[in-house]
Amino acid sequence: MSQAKLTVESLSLSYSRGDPPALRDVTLDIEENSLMAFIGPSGCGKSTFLRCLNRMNDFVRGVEITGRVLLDGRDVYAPDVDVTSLRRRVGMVFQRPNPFPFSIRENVAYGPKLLGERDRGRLGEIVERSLRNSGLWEEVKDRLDAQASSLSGGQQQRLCIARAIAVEPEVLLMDEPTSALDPMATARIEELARELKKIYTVVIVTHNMQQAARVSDHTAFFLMGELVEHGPTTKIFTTPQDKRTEDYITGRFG
Amino acid sequence: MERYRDMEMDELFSKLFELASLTQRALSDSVWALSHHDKALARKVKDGDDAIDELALTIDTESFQIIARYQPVAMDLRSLEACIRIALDLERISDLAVSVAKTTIGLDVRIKPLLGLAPMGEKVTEMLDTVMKSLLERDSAMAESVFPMDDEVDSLEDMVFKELLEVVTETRGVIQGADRLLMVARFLERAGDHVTNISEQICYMLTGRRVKASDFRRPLPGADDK
Repeated sequence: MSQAKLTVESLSLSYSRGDPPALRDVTLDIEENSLMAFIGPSGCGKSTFLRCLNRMNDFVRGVEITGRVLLDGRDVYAPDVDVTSLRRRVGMVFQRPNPFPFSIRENVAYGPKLLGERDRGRLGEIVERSLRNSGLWEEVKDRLDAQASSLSGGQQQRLCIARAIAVEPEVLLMDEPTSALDPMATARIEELARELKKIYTVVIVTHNMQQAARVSDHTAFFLMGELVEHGPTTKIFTTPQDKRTEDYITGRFG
Repeated sequence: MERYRDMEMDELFSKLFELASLTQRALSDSVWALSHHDKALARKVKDGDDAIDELALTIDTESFQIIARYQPVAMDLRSLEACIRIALDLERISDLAVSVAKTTIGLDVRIKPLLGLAPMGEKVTEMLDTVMKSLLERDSAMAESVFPMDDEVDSLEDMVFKELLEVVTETRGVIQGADRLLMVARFLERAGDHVTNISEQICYMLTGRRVKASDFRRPLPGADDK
């Protein structure tokens, strides 16, 4: 087993005081340079859990989080942690492609510029490398100044991936990145996710169990805020240990 | 995702080819050891069986993992079914090779060389070679070409039986050795049947058509005289 990039210890979360917790006492290691998938029915807490990993839940009013999330051994919830630099290290791609209303080039260069990169040559290199790594370069290299909105849905999602990796994160979180895409575009993103894990640690939330089975090294199954079972994907999908996992992946509920 | 699935399938099939080559080696070594009273080689065949069993199990496990992960259909699904079943047949053939090897280890009497036994072993080895080549080249006609070869194996078995009867009638005291050799002929005949199973499986995988070895039986020269 390689080293854990992220270690989550006894993480619990309630959206407001008195409500049943959305996450209960979740403990999980995420290996470096691996691809982990979170599966489970709607409302099981998998997206909430993903968003805890780069503190996206901080925005939610009244949220209460206990436990620890360690990135390379350091607690991301420690008071001295700069959330902006945390999110640079732990990037995110969302369910619906959300390109900014700029050109393709500007979308990718946005993050590096924000971080102070002004050199046009270096920005050009970053744009090319990011678009190559997101598998979009060949399709857009001749029209980098076209509006991002002119791209197809699948291309827009790959652009968002390029934008996320332009700031060279260490972890890439993907929250149902293909749920708005057709099967061909989905296949491209899945292939891409498997390429990306060679460089980054990738965590993907998916409604689609088959997607988890196809792409991931490890799978974690959530149910009603609880992490029911996690382990190597081949094991979860051939010999799950918990009856609830078995019932879910065989389509008996959820 | 296609690329990853294809890569995993390719790796799986290279393991299957490795299993086939180990099995083929075990089979030909076991027959050579018997013909040449080479107990050391026979022991080597026997000792090598664990590795073969382990590889067959790995192939089985990985095939199921691919099914669970990718939900293959059509040719992909038939390929995995073929892989699982072929691995099973190969593993059985290697068990039969071990049985031949054990016979050599336990055989103390020397019986005059039997004309049919070595050719039987060679023929089965050739059949195995042909089916695996047909799988490699995705050639169902080549796979079907082993069916008549199995008929030859069967008639060689008859020949060995007759030879042994003569030996037993001529020489008293060799019944114990002769019955063992008769078993060897049966082991080899069984091995041939497993190869035809493999061939049927390859035909189904490549064409989606179920063929049976019995559909390809062709009368051997002289068979009409019986």
